[in-house]
Amino acid sequence: MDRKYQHSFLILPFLLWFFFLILGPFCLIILTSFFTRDEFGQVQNIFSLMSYKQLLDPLYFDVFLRTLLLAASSTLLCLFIAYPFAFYLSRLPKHVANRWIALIMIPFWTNFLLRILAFMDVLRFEPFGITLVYTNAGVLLAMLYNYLPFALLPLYSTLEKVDSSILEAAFDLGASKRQIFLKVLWPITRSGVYAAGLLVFIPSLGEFLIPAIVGGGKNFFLGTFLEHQFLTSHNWPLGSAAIVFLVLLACTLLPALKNKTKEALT
Amino acid sequence: MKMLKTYSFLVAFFLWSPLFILLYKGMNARAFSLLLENDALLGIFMRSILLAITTCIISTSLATITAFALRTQSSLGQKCVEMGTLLPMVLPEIAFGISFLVWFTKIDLPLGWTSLLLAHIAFTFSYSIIVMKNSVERIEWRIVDAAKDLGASRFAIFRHALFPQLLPGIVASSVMAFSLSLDDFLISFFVKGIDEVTLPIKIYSMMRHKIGPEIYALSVVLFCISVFSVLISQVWYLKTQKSS
Repeated sequence: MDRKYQHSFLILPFLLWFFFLILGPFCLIILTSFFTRDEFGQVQNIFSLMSYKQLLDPLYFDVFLRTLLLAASSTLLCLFIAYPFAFYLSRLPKHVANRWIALIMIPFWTNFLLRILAFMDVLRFEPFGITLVYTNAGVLLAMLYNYLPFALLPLYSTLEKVDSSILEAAFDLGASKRQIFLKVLWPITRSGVYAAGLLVFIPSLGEFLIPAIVGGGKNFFLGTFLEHQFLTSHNWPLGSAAIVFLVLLACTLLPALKNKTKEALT
Repeated sequence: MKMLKTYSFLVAFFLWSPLFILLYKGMNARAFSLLLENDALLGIFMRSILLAITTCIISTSLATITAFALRTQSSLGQKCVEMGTLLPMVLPEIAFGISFLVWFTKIDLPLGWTSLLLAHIAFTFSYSIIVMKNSVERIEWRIVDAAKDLGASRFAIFRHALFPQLLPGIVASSVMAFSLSLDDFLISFFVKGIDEVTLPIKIYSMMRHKIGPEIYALSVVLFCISVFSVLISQVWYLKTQKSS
């Protein structure tokens, strides 16, 4: 009995980490979002809802809408491109599919900034005579490039569980390819697709480097907006309110992710 | 199926295309000689490696302790720890970078090497815990008990019965923490302070001004480091699969 409690102090590093480095900083952000700042950019400990009111200002509200739009369109694009790929992988023998997955993951071991740097060179090729660098289309393509594996891997593990004989049965009974997808494949894999979508959507809400570098920082997205508030214009309460909003949005989506993952796994 | 295969090759090519450009531009003598002449860049590179090594040692040791502590926790305690571990992994990274900045400023911790190290430990710790928890769960306690029965000293038990079983987990956790720390931009960007610069931040500022060929040589070096570290962890993984 006492042996069990003898080592309970070992949990101390975890508690220190959680309270000192995760929870503490977050609580401070929440607190800061309710404060104001003076003209020198110093945070003043006076309670106010100013920052939240400011967030509703059309100027800042547009930033949110643009971010949501970018995140949603990147998510849809990633799912759309990744689904057929994942389906192809799922019909391959296991060891071949594993080799493909290794092939896809290798580029992602290299530093993200260097990959973005090289991706800019790809965008500069201008095969159709239109430049994609510093445009929204370029940003979207870079998001696709960076987040595709986030969608691909969960989609693969969902599709892998679909028995080929079900598809063959539908095919033998005269179903068209479209019918097979809509009536057989989609109902089975739907929850996996939702999970994969959230795994792209949540991190892409806070993306900073792609809008800053590929987009040239022309349009503010949430990530670039936050950087600006904290490092350039020193409006910490406003930035904190935006973080609270971001984290709340992510947290409301998380339980859905957990349930969908559970569904997808059973 | 044939069409799907062509499609998959095209997507894979899309994912590889930037890497081809990096390797093509970096694999020449001129780029490498420029890199070797650039003492400032090499200095930053070495400091980043030092930061990554320190991070991975501390993070892995603390995660090992935590993994052992979890064994004696109640199932409720374990669930709480699991939630606490997963939270930093799923929330957007920028929220952490900024909350560290605000927190460190509040507690008067000077921004620089120490704040970078603390922030890097903070975000690699989750990943290390998951790896080490898995590793500790798979320990064969019979071997440890046998060593005890045969009268081994506490040190001998640890050295010969426990440590070899933990080693694959320790290697995997170290490799992961090392590469996460070396690659991190966003969190370092907010807590770096004025004097301290990590490699990704240096690359970022070079991208906004002028990119020299030496950057491409450096990316070849970084690519080799990551391939090498993944190979190490894979080899260790296969080794344990074989022995068990």
